[in-house]
Amino acid sequence: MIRIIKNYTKIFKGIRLPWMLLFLVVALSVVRSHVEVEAISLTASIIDGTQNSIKTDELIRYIEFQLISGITIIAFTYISGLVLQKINLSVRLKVWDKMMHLPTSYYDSDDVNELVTRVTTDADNAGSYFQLIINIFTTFYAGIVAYQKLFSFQFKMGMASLLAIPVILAITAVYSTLSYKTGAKARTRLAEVMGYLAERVRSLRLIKSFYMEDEESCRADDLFQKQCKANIFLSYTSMIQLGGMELVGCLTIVISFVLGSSLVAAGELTVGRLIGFYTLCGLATARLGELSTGFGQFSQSAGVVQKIGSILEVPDEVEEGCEMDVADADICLKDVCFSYQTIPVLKELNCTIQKGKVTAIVGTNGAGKSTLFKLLERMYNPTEGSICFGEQDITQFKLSSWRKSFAIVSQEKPLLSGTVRENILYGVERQVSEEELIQVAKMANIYDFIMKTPGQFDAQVGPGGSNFSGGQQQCIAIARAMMRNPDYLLLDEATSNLDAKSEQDVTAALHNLMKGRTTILIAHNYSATVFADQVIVLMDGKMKACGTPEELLETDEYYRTFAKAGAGIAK
Amino acid sequence: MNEKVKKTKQEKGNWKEFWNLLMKIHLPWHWILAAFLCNFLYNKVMLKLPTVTAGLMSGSLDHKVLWDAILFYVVFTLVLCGDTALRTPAQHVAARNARRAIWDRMLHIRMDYYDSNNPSDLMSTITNDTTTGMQLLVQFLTGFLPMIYYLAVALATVSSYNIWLMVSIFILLPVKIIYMVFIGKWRYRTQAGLFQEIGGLTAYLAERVRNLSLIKTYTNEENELKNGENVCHRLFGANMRVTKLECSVTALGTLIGMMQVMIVMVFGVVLLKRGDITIQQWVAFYMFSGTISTSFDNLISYWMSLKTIQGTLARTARLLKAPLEEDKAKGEKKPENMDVVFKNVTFSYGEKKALKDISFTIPAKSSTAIIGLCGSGKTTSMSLLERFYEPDEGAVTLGNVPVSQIPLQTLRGYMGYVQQGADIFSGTAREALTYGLHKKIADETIWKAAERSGFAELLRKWEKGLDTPIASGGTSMSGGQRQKLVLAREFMRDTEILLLDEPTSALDASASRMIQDTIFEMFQDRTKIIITHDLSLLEKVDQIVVLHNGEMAGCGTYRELYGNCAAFMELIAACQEEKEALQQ
Repeated sequence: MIRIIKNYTKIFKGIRLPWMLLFLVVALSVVRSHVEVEAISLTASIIDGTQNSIKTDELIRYIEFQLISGITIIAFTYISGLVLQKINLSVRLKVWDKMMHLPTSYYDSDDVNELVTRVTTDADNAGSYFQLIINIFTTFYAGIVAYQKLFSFQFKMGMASLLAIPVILAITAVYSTLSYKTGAKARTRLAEVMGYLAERVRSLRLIKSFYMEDEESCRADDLFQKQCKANIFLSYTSMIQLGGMELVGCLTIVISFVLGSSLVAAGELTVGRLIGFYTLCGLATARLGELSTGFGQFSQSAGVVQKIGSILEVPDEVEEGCEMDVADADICLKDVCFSYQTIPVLKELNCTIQKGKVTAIVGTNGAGKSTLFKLLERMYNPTEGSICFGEQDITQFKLSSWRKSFAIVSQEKPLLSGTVRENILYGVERQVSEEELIQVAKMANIYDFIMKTPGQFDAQVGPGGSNFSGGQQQCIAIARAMMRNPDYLLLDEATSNLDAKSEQDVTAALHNLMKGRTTILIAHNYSATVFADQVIVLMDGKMKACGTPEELLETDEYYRTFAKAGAGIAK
Repeated sequence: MNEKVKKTKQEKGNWKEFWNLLMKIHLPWHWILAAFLCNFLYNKVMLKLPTVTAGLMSGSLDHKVLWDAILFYVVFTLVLCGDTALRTPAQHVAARNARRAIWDRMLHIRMDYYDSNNPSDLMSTITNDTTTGMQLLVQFLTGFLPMIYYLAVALATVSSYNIWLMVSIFILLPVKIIYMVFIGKWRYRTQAGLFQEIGGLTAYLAERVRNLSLIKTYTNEENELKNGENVCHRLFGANMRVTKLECSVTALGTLIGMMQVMIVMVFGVVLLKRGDITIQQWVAFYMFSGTISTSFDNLISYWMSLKTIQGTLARTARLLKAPLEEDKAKGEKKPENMDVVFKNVTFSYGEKKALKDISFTIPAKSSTAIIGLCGSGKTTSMSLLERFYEPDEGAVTLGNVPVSQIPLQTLRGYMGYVQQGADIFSGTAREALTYGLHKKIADETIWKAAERSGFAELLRKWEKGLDTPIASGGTSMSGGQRQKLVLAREFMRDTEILLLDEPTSALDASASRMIQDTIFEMFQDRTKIIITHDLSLLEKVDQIVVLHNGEMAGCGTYRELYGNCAAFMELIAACQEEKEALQQ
């Protein structure tokens, strides 16, 4: 339990909590407990009274009390709702802020959808911490007030009703321990079902093609069955709580009436007070029940909160450093090693990327080409060795300043939903005139088709850019890179996955982009390397050869095969 | 008038459909019946509650009354627990059955259904809709009739005390109904607003998280933070609207409850003073009035939940009505050989023409490449062969038998399928390698096949060998390794015809060459149909089919087409021009 509380506390570090409102909620709950208890004792005296005659002033006071209690409950509901939502919002924003500043490596390990739920649903659990604290406070307070009243009604009966407390505590303890386990189980099962379905749903065609419908149906049946079982277990756990509380209710009734009846018979207690006692017991039990539900919820969301906590613990990307206001220089890699987790990707890589020149990188899949780009962009830092800009280590530059001098065009061509204009101007901080936009659009070969699209620059690109063809998306991405006007350009197989016609358009646009910039490109075919000033052949994370294309044709075996494969059709 | 008739008819139609839906999802009727009986018992016991309590409160506390009361409370507690203990399993089992029915349907629906319905969007139908829908439905089925029974008996008891008492309960009924309907509509709107905002936030975040490196490269973190804050604030607004709604519900509910109490009090006190009822009856009535009014609330909300159930299950209903793939072919003929013939095939996706009058022949054991720009109908023609769609005109035949006359299982059993992304499900390497084989395979056979495709090289590196876990989509392997795995799988499936949809486009030049060689070596005596953008493959194949905007632009060998087919030359020229442009 202490560990759970620690986790919660971690989240709230550095968040401005709505203290005033929290205080108000506590104050209201104090008022509420008093009003409730008073209303009950008033009812008791009314019932005693009706046996003789009805007193109008008591009835009016009763109505007054009802009104006050109604207003308090409404105010309490509203303000506690407000507090809860405000806390959730702050936690949500904090997690989102953190996610924006996490190092990229964090995103390799965790599932994307999981990260999204941290902000969407998981953050909603954070508020339950305060709900519980307030709940504990109010229940204790209301309990004390209620018991005070009970004792003032009749001392013996007050003592007797104390018997219920250990039972309730035992039930709460059992319930919160069990519900933590069963809740976790049910969530795991749900995650399994979701994972299974998400995977199959994307490959329905394969399932049909292989005639696997019946097998898949069986497998799903099995998963659904397991999930169903876990859910039933979970509801049986809450049955312990529900049934237990009912049992306590039963117990109090038995106590009140067995003991109460003898007291009434002995004239030590009025019937009205007996009923009042009974109602008070009911109230106290209900409150304790709420508390135990709160505990259950608290321990159920503990896992989720721990996940949020673990995100918040990851250190941010290092932002500080000096501005990049130095003249262009060569980028030198010195003995650079890099591993993803434990798998080595780059091994003692040494090479120089000359300023103002075109460097092409070729190599097999998994040779470390894309990783090299990520290191250049400082998405990762080398595990060993260093990358220097002229004489300076690149980690000395301010991260944002460093990244601003790079633009990358990759085969993934990620467009964000929004208009064409928003996509082209993505990340541009200055005001851009319409003329400049058009000029860039023309250079990137997108002006013509954008003019033909309804809405023109304000046309929606659709989710993932799906309103445009692959080639068009790539050209928009190129326009975006041009708008940025970077000194260094990284091209990661920018023309693969396109058909021949679109490839032509994209290549032309790329050429406009490359003018006057230091370009590093990952090439998947020979033709893209022939005009490079320098070709680097990467093999298994090591540099195998380096030189002009002509030199390499002479000296390097791999490059020769590579050239032959590319030349294949064009002879 | 006419409209009204139409509407009621439609309504009837809806009810019938609703009934059909319930039949299709196989509700666990025995569970529901048990829960229903228990709920009935619960209501019966509940009816005794006011009289028992009233007996106690009136002060006549002799032993018999006391022990009866205690016994009663014990029974009451037991029945209450039993009610929940039976209902929740019924709900979960019903949800499970519904899930099974939906997933089974989704597996057997005709593929064209998924053109207009993204299967990923249908996922929440299985996970969420069933949970909410079945919870409400089972609650309704088990609770509705017992509730009516309770109300009828309770009202009869009250009116037996004095008819005016019953009137006092009914005075506020119209107000209550108006209130419930009003709140119901309001709640629906607010909830819809909330779901929309949650959806908006999820979509926003999913996109950003997926494109994180873009944000970082463009150093746009601060802007995205601001955008994210805006979206979060909108969700906050929606959440607060829900809070306000709940507060209003509490306020109005309390107000109506107080009015009810006052009316009941006034009536009761007046009748008590006139001596029309005894004090015991008054107490019993007072207690009944509370439960009766909550029961009315419940009854109204049960009724309204029916609408919610229909709404929640609407997608499910639509899905369960979607046409199935026809499994029973009419003729059940066996194809004479494995020649594939497209004869004047025309096909359109709805309005959009995809294939126009396509004819070509693919002889058994030959290799054919289908080339063309994006959207020229290459993949569509493969789908027609596998009978994912039926051609509008013309016919696709396999060994002189139209594919529509070959049972689906047999037809698809003839075909292997390799695509660009390499479909691999998570599981062990063994499971991935034997997917779709429909039988147990000896490890030896698997190793042999892996050896042939070159996948064994990687397998040997893994300590756990065939038991190594593989991530969904095979993301832990490189593109070439994934294709090798898939090829080994196809080798074991040993189908007559191999369909390859851009098998090498995600690979670099050397890997793609290697995979090409492997394909031709491993499947030497099998029919190979290859969709490709990779022009280096064209010289290897026996025949090239050129598609252009859904029409046949040419068919023949590389040499035959070279110089004779305009579309073919254009495709090649585009490739060469690009090369020259780069060389300048």
